[in-house]
Amino acid sequence: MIAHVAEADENSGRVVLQMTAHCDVAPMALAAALRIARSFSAGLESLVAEDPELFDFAQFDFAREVTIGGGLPQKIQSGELEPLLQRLAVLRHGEVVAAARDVAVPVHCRTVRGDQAAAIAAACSENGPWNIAVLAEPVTAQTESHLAGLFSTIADVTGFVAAGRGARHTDGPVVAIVEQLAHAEPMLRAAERLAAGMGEDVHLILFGGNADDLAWMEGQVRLLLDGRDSAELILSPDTCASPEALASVLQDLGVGFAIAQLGGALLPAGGGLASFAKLHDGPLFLVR
Amino acid sequence: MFFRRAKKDQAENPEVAAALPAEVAPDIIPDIIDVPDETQGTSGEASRDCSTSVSLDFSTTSDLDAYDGWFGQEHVIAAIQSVLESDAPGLHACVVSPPGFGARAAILKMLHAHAQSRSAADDWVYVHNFEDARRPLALQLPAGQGRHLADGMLEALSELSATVPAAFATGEFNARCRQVADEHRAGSEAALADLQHKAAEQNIALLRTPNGYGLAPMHDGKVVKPGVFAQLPHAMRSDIEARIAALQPQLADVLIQPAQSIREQHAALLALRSATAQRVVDAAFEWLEQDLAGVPRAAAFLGRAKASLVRNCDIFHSGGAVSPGAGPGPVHIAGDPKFRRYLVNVIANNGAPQSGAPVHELKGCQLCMSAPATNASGVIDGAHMDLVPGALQIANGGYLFADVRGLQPAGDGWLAMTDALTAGAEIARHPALQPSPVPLNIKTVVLADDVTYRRMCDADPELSSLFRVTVRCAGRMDRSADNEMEFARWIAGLVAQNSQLPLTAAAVAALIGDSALRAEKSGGLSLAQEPLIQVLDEAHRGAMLAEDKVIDAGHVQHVFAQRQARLTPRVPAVTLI
Repeated sequence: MIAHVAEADENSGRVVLQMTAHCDVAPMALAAALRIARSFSAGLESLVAEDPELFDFAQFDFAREVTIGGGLPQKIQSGELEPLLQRLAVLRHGEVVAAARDVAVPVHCRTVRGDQAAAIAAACSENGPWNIAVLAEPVTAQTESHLAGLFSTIADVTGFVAAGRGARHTDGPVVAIVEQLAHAEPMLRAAERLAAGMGEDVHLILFGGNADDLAWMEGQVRLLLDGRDSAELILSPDTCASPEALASVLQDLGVGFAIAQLGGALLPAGGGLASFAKLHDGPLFLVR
Repeated sequence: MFFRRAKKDQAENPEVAAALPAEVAPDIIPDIIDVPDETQGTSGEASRDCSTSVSLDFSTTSDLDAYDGWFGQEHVIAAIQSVLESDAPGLHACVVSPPGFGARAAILKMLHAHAQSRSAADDWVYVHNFEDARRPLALQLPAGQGRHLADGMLEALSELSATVPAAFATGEFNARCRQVADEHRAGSEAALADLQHKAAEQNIALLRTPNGYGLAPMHDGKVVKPGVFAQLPHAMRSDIEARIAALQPQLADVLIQPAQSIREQHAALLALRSATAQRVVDAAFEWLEQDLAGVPRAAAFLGRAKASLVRNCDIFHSGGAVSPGAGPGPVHIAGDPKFRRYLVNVIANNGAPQSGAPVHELKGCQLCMSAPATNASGVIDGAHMDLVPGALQIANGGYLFADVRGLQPAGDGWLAMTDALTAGAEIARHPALQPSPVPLNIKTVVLADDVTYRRMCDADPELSSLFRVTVRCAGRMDRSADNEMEFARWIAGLVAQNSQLPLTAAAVAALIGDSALRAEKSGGLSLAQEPLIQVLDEAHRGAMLAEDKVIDAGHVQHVFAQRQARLTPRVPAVTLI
């Protein structure tokens, strides 16, 4: 496991902001992508995916679009769909380029027609092995299975970033929630990179397990830190290891970025991501 | 200013003074005499030998019952007292006296003495009118409460600058916001998920489209290609189309919910925000409301200000998190335009209730309330802070004294004052603002000389109806043995007031003689005070230098001689070679 993105001049990976042409970009997603790109001196890829099924949909004579707000169902003209999606893609890219220019992050824009997983896979494969993908839409109940699918099918991504609808800030201390000792070093390194650019603190939360397990892991992590005081250790044993309790701790610390393992004890497969993202104030950097 | 300095030659023109019209005769008619300018003393050493006619039966002035008052001006005192003690509104006094008779000091002393016998006047403040910003409200508050309200408002705003951002940054508030948003969103998302599930059971896909959602035939989780769909049997196609047609109204029903939900969520978040702001604002004003609970006008203003602050709590958000106690101080608040509407402009501050009624002497300041034509902030909101109180507001509830001798009425100020005194209320004149009027309860005493008084009458023919009590100071008194003894008692009083050495009877006789000489034109004894005080001062210094215990006639005559020498031109000696 590694949580890393290549620097821009290495040409071996980017921060990939994955969007769809017809959905707005969550401001928190854009902010998180830029923060990661700056922290790692990486390039940003503005990736817009056009859903090919929309073109099939538009060809059915009986198919109607029902607008949000409950307007009358209307036929989408297939001839109008492509230029509409192109205009929307240009709009999305424009937002990203403008924001990236403000913080001097190099941007590469790409529009592809395909499903989201295929779009990310294609972009990352072309970029190189060290990519981090950021989901532009807020976390929903479906996001977890979507992400699990992405992790299993895309090899050139070291982590995915997603944020709940309630996420408000990327600044504040960076926390790495460590469940396995093997993850401690790469998580710590990623947290330090994220924190360094903004002068923020780093917290390592040793999560789950009984008191003996945590004590052993604490010792190992302290050896890893080798006397450095760059990170503060927080122990969260089983008894207080619920996502809600942890989210409360993060809120009290004013945490922005949280690095966590998808499919671990905190965010187990089959549930947990949506509810935790709902409670957390910042973006989640999810690793394998 | 409503008076400007008159040209000296006009002010001293005796012909103008002598030509005072008879119709300005006051209610209380004094001895109308021509009062000469006696402040420069007499000339001619020989003319001072009048002391022989004086017969005084005391050793030194220490033996006398010193006179403590304004000698010879009892009629003036009575006239002013009648004004001060009258409850009749709009009763003001005008005293006509040339300089040197002690009128200013005596009148001020009377005003202060009378003011001390009365309780302090109410304070007056101007506050923002939350219903109509162009019409600031004047509030009448008990003495001392005006400043208390103004300072308290600044303190509360300063506190809110720290506590409001902190309240909205708390985890509790954000958790409640999130809860509200989640509750409303969850309903919409659940309904959409249900419909998606229901459609999927019928092999219908729910797709996100550029502006909403659409339903399409689905197989194995993917939208069926149109070409494939066209190859399906007609009955199957019709069945799918019918199912989609049946689901579309349900989709429309589901999608109308988010719009309703957003409105409800917005209202719920506003209510939450309002409740949070209300709690913080209540806490900041609690002590001030308790302090002013007995002052309904102040309490009503605080209520309106609090409601406005709750509605406009965004003004406290500076962009960054502010911890409690770290907000800007009252000075910063007072200078910040966005807080001006909440500030209190104290236009009459009468301190503690036991401090007595105010006595204000007009000295160079504006007579009436004024406001810049364009207020500092450039907006109407908070423009009440630009209203500048004039002398009428400062003295309201008490006494205004104006020594206008040597000046002449000029500009609109005089007319504004007479209008305000006549109407019993003052309304600030401003092109954009219409502040509520401040009722005036004021006694005005104007001290004028003959020339100024005539100019005042010329400038305002209604003057006599406004200054219904006009009284002229006496310039002389008859010379008699009794009056000479009274004069001696007056000298004893002056000496005592200034802690000077006592005078022998001979010294007093010399002074009486000098006074008789100064009143030579009209006969009797001059009541001019200033020349007498000057001689006493110099004679006292001479006696002190000689280490004498009393001022005798020699000391007084020495002063006269020195004065004469100063007045005689020196001829330079010429040496012929």
